[in-house]
Amino acid sequence: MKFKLQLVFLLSIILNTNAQEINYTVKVEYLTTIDWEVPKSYNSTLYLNDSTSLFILKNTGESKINNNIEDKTFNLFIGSEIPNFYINNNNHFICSEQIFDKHFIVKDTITKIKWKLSNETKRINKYLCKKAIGEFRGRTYNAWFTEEIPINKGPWKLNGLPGLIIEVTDNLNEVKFELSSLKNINETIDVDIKNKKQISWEEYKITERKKIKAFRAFMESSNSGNDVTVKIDSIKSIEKVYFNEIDY
Amino acid sequence: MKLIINILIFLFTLYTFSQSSINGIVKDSTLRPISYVNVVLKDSLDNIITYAITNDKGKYQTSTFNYVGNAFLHLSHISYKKKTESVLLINSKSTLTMDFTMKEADITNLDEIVIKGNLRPYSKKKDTISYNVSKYINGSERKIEEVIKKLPGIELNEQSGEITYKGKSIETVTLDGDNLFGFNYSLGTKNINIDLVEQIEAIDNYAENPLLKDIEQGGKVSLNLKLKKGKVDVSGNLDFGSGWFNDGDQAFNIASNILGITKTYKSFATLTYNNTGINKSPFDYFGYSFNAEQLKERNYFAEKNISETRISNILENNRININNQFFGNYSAIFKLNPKLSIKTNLYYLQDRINTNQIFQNDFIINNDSFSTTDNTFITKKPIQYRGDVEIKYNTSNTSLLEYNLRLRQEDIVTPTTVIQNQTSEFSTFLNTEDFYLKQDLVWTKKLSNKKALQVSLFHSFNDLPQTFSIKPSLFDEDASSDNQESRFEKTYLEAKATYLSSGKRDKYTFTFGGNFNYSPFISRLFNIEETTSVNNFDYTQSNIFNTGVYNFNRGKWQISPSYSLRLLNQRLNQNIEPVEQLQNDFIIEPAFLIKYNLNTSSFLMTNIGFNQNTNSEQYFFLNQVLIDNRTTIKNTPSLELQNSQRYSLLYFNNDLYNQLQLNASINYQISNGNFFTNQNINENTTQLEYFFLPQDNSNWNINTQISKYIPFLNSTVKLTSNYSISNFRNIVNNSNLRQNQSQFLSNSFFYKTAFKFPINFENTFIYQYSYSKSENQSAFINKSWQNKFKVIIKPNKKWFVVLSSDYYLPNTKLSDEQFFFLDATLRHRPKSKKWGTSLTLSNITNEINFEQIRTSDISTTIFRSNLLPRYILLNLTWNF
Repeated sequence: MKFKLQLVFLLSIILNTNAQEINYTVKVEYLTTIDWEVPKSYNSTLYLNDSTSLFILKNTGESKINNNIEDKTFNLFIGSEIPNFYINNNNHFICSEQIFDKHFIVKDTITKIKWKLSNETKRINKYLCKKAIGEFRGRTYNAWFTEEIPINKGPWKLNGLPGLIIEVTDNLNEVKFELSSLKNINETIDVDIKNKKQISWEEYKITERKKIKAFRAFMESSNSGNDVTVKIDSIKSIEKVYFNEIDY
Repeated sequence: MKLIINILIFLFTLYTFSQSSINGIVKDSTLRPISYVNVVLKDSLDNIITYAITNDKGKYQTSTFNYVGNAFLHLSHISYKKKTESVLLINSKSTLTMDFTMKEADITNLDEIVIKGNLRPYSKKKDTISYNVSKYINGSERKIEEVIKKLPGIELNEQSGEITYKGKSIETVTLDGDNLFGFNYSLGTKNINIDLVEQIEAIDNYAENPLLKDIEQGGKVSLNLKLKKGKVDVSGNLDFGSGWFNDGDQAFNIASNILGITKTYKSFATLTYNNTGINKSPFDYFGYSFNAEQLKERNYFAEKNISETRISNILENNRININNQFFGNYSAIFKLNPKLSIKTNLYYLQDRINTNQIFQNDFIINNDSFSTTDNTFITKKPIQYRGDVEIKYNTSNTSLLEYNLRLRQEDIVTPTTVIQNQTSEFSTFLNTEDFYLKQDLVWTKKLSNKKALQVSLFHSFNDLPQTFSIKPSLFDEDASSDNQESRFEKTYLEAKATYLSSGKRDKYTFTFGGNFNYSPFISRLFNIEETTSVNNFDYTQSNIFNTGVYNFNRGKWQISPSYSLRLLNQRLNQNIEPVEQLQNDFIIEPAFLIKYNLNTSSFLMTNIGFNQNTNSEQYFFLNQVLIDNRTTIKNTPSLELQNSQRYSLLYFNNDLYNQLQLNASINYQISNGNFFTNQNINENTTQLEYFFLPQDNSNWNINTQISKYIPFLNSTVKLTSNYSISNFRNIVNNSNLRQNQSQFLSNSFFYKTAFKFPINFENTFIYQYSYSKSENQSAFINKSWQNKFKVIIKPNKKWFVVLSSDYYLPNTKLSDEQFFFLDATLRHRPKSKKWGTSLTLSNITNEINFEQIRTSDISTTIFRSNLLPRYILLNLTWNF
């Protein structure tokens, strides 16, 4: 209970920080590959300063639907022109997510990823990287990080290693982030999160599930005729397990 | 799994033995806590024992570990100098507190790096929505069309096969990016089995010519079928359907499709035969409605004076089209080398369409009322041969040369027997030949990333001779028959150069060119005794033109003004009478398009245009031409131009989040300067004369469509409404020029359930109202309705049953004339999805005829036609 109260308190702090005009000093670019039946790559950027990180996944917005017409998978991807972003302040994330064409500002608090370090090393480009294995929301990630860059952040919601994550892949090879460039900057980036509905991660996932179910029924029943049935198999998402342990 | 177990075991052992830990606070020189400091404990071999990261209060706390001996604690942070402290861990139960102060680094710069060659080509497609269809083979006879019409934002016109996406007619349906079918994409969508397709993509900014991608005016849409990547290069299906009609005749529906794909070759071949009313071709010989390709090319077509079809039907083709169709197509692209590709499309179609149509017209003209009837027995026998060749040659990386050739020969023989007014019997014979040649050469040069130049030459030729004969003669009792010969020709030449440019947000296009159109016509109406009427004219038209389009994109606004300037020269020589008409005009035609994106799922669009149109060649002959057992046509030719103005407003919303699709549009068109009809109608003959007057006709058209899923009912409701008003003038039986109005309203209400259990229902109710009125006369009104009800039963994955009933009431005032249809389909798909079977029972109630009612300003027309009789058909499908 105490913990929950703390959480509410923290969330309310984040809530009030609507102006996300922050100065960043490091820019790291990752190539993001998401491979659900059809592999897609995106350019993504991680902006960093001493306290905050901002991860922008450009021009994505897969609606994460994996419908099934009887035996056949029937995916629907909807491209979005607005980059999906993830602002991380002490594992309190402010993310832009979407369900179909509707965008949400989702507030998400993640627990620390319990990385298991191994002594395996490999050289990626000029960096000596160490391997870490961590589990996060249903996927096991193999991360390669380097102590040469003392930044304990990483792409997307992955972070908490004693060095920058250079490459990370999940066990199923469906999600992959690879560093492609790194440079020093002095840029102020303003992320507009006003005028958009803000919801919690749990609400977001519940809404998504509800909307996809309704969409399936709409697809099935919006036209006359044949026997095409649309079934929802599973919702494809980087997060395979939706909710934090604290909620369940 | 094994790995996870191993990890668990490892963690468990770690937990029982690890008891040491280190904690502390890290501060800077001003004693402010530093967050995000890496605190890493390493052994002397530089292996990490444990680590921690400081929180926002500068505190760190390592996880427990079981290391004993000398170790080093490394502190690092991008903004601070690294720090290393040695630690001696004496026993395995140490709890150490170590606080640190870190000095700020002079330069915090990291070594910049760019890993080259790592970035793969961007596969993000901003312009694309993709619908994945993958990993399954089954034996159902489903075609890709049936899935396409389910996709949000996409509408399919079942009759013409036309597909619209976001309210716009699509350019084509490509196969893995290759435009095999052009505008005749219905070939693909009607015939390709869903099993062959993995993904359907809707493309928002389609560019047929890759050099013009992002340069040409956007807004073109298309669909792409991503084919399954099979191990074999050849896939396809064979459908064999056979059964019996009520009268014992055999019913067939046979089709085979083959798709062949290699790196350098892509082909689609289809061969079909059916006599169950299905049109598998992109050409409509039953109702003669133009398909998307024909609509694009209609300017190059010669006029057809004598039509094979009188009225279009409201019933679906598969009830009324008593056909015998054989259709084949072979489409292929050969990529001979990276620079050169050749595409070829070959078509063959042969059909025999039998129909018995009865027309009953009840006229009231100038307070005179009378009725006519025509009982017609028509056999239409079209044959079409067609070949298209397209050669694309990339002369360099920035230039492309394209050559297109189309050759088509079409022959339609239509013997007909007519019983006029239940007394006189005529037999008529119409033979139409149609030879069409179209070729064009296009050279595209990309001048820069943002600019391109395109030069094109176009030539087409269409020859359309028709002969119509009728027995006995209408004009002379002594002659056994009358013959009408009628031959339109059209030659069209055009040369133009187009300059295309795109800026950061704006795009513009300018075109200069000239065209020339030569359309002669000859006709002769004669019998053995005399020649009744002869026509022979030459019409030439030439234009020198300049057009321009500018496209402004500002935030949510897209504003696109356009203009056309042309010098028009028209000449009409009547070669029999010494009549020559000549007219020169300078024409300015402006247009505006404004689009406002309300949000990502909805927009408002308005279109305004002013045009000056030349008249169709069909109004240029002077003397009468006989077109059926009653009707003759003649004209008072004029080269005057028609001034038209059109205004339209469209609202489009495809809100998938709320499962709502809403379209509404309103169109108004007024044209000043028209050919009006002067009709002389009696029980036996109809004489039409078209004459030009600078008077106006106008049209209103209002359409709305709303579909919404209602979660509470588990159902989708769709309301479609269509209302049109047209105002026009004519002269009937020596009246003055009359002002007429006709109105047409059609409302449909669709309801379909999406229950989770095996039975679902679908109902469509359609109400239609037509009203036609001439000044000083009472109106002709008809109201009709129909209701379709379907029960869809799916007990399991293998079985599927649809029962449907259609009820029609053509005239609400005559409730004894009603029609009731019952159909059933049973489909079974065994586990091996290579096979599938289905059983169709069509027209179970065996309705013989169908009736529909039309109104005009002078009459009510009751139109009755015969139907495909009851049949049973068993279909087997094999996929390979």
